[in-house]
Amino acid sequence: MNQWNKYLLFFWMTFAVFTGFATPEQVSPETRDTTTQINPVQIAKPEMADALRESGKIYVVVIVLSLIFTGIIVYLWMIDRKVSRLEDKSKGK
Amino acid sequence: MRNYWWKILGILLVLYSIIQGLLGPVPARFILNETIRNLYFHVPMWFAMIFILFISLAYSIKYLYKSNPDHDIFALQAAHVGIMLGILGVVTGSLWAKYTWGSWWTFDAKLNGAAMTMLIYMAYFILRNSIDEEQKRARISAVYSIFAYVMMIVFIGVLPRMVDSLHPGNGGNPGFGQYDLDNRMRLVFYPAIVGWILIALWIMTLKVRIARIEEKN
Repeated sequence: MNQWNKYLLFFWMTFAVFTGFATPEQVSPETRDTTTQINPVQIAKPEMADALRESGKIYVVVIVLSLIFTGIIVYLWMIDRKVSRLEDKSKGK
Repeated sequence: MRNYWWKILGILLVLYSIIQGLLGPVPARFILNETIRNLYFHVPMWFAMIFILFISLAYSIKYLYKSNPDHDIFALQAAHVGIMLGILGVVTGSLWAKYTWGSWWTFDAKLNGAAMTMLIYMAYFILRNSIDEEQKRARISAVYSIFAYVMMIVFIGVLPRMVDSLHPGNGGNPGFGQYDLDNRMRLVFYPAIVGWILIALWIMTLKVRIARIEEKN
């Protein structure tokens, strides 16, 4: 990957994580969940991972997954480059 | 490296689906809870599989038309990637089922249909390995590939909708789109589909290029 693409990728990742773009919203289920309003018996709300979000630990999960995915992609990229080189070599023959 | 803008796009879209998929807001639903986010990964796997297997079908038909061995390479490698995606789809679905339906597998039309589709395409590879002569192998497997694709559509698209099924979108169940998928989820869901299709295409083209080099030597 050439320098330009490396910077583009890094810029995009930081932009996505540190702007409001990726900020988890705390939207109360009542405002958009009509099914629980129709059924008066259900008082309890569905459990969601709010604690993980409030403590900020969700970011650990996000970063870990992004790192794993990026690692696999880098590997794929290197294979792509190697194949290109092999193609050029066999074309040159 | 050859044309790579679409590879970068695929990478960015999938990365976006991972980051925004985990951090973004989703509807709160009983039974599903946070696993609703699996929609961004499990479903794109299957859409990408259907797309790639369609590519395999297209190249199989092209091979029958023109007998160009390059098309046979495409058909095979696309089927390889398709199976890989299918296995990922089945495994992610099974994990999702364990935590929502309570068991790793149910005797459900869609699940069994998906497993049968995997077996059908594995039979495609076995068929290929059983024939030594190249042209014959390519022709016979191209014909099989056409039947295999049609059966895939029947097993995972048609039959599950006609019988009782637990799986969303089949057997009288509403699809996610009807009640649970809101526009904020769609914003992540659709890019994820495109991203995974592009990544699958990238892997397929890599395998094709490697196979071509191997053919030459």
